[in-house]
Amino acid sequence: MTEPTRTPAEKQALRELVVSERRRKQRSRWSLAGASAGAVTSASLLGLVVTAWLRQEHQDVPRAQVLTQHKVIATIRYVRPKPRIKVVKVVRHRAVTPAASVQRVSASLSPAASVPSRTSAVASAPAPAPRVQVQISKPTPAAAPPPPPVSTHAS
Amino acid sequence: MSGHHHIHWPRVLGGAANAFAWPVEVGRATEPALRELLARFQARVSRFEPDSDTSRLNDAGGRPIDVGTELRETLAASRWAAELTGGIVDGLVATSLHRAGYAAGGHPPRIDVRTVARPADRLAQPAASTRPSLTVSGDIACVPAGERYDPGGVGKGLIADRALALLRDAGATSALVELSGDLVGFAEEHPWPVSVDPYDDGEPLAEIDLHEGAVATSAITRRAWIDGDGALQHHLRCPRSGEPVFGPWVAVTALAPTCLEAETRSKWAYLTADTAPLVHGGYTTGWDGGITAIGGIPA
Repeated sequence: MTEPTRTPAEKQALRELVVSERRRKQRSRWSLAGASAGAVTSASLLGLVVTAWLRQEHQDVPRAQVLTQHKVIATIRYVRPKPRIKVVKVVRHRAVTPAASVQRVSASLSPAASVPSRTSAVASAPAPAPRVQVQISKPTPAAAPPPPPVSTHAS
Repeated sequence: MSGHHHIHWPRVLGGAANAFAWPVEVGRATEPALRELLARFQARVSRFEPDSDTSRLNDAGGRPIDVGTELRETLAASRWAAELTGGIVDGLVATSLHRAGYAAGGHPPRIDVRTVARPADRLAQPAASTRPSLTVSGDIACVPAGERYDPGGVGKGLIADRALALLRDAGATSALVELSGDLVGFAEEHPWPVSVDPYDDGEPLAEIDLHEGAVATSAITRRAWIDGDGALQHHLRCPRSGEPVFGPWVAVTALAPTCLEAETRSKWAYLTADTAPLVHGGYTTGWDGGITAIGGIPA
């Protein structure tokens, strides 16, 4: 049995399909970096998160939105050629301000917002802005010590 | 040693004040606002400050004068206390105190009531209906000529409640404010160990675990003195006669949701020699030093 002969166009399409599938698998493994907050500001906090994400996996995405609990808290723009992020707009949200009260930040790509590969044969519409879901955990307060004794008496 | 943030004021309405807060950073962050609040009330409401609104009101000779927010709030609290108690807790008893030698700027020499024989009972009555009343209209207040207003315990209760609200709003999980032995607090974890110490001699007669609420004591164990005729005088007066009130107790401690209410109920119970005002519980201390728990709380 002889292998069917592919035309150059078919070979190119198959190659693109393989590349696309490889990228899809990569996206499914995305686990985005966290950041210790400390004294960072809201904007730099978001910058840390999204920079980590884009540097790692997605340098070809020009814009993204950052959400907390489904609320858009920032729009970011990737600035070529260096892998750096410009925070275009930050919407104040109590979950991220004050940032000093934030203990840990992690982020992940929202499944519904996966980005079609630019090499996909079916990608004709403009790519939608991907969305990064940000999880922010606040520090666990230290347990209160026993209070001092007090007394009630005649004033 | 507690880790709570502690703030101390040497003088607020004639007595010392303390506040405790946890977490420490909340206490530190709130301290400026607390100090500003208490300084404002001390400057404008204390009758021991010659330039306060209260002193100006008392010295106005019956003329209406402009008063600030702090005194208006205090006058509203006094009106609330008078309505709750049917006129028994009355802000104008300072008139009789003033005449009895308890003048602004200093306290008479203190005596220990345990060394004095129990006087005959003399309970409080509301002021006569013919007595002109203290009036407030907008920013204008007027004390009838010949009368004097004393914010007293009601003012302390109000300030303590306001101060605690600041700490609660700032995110404290455990806080307590104490003014001259009246206190209000809350605790999410360990309750506040409150000693009931009617004689203020470091030998408490009972202990309360306070999770949330206020405790106040009205007593004749501190501001009591012997007058020129050898009679026992103190600061808990009858609104009608202006005379000191005597009953079966030397002290009444009341529990309540707020310090203003605890202060009002303890004074109401003392002045009427009745435990009915102690609807949230409390203690009575007799002339023999015996303490009785009211309302099912532990003795």
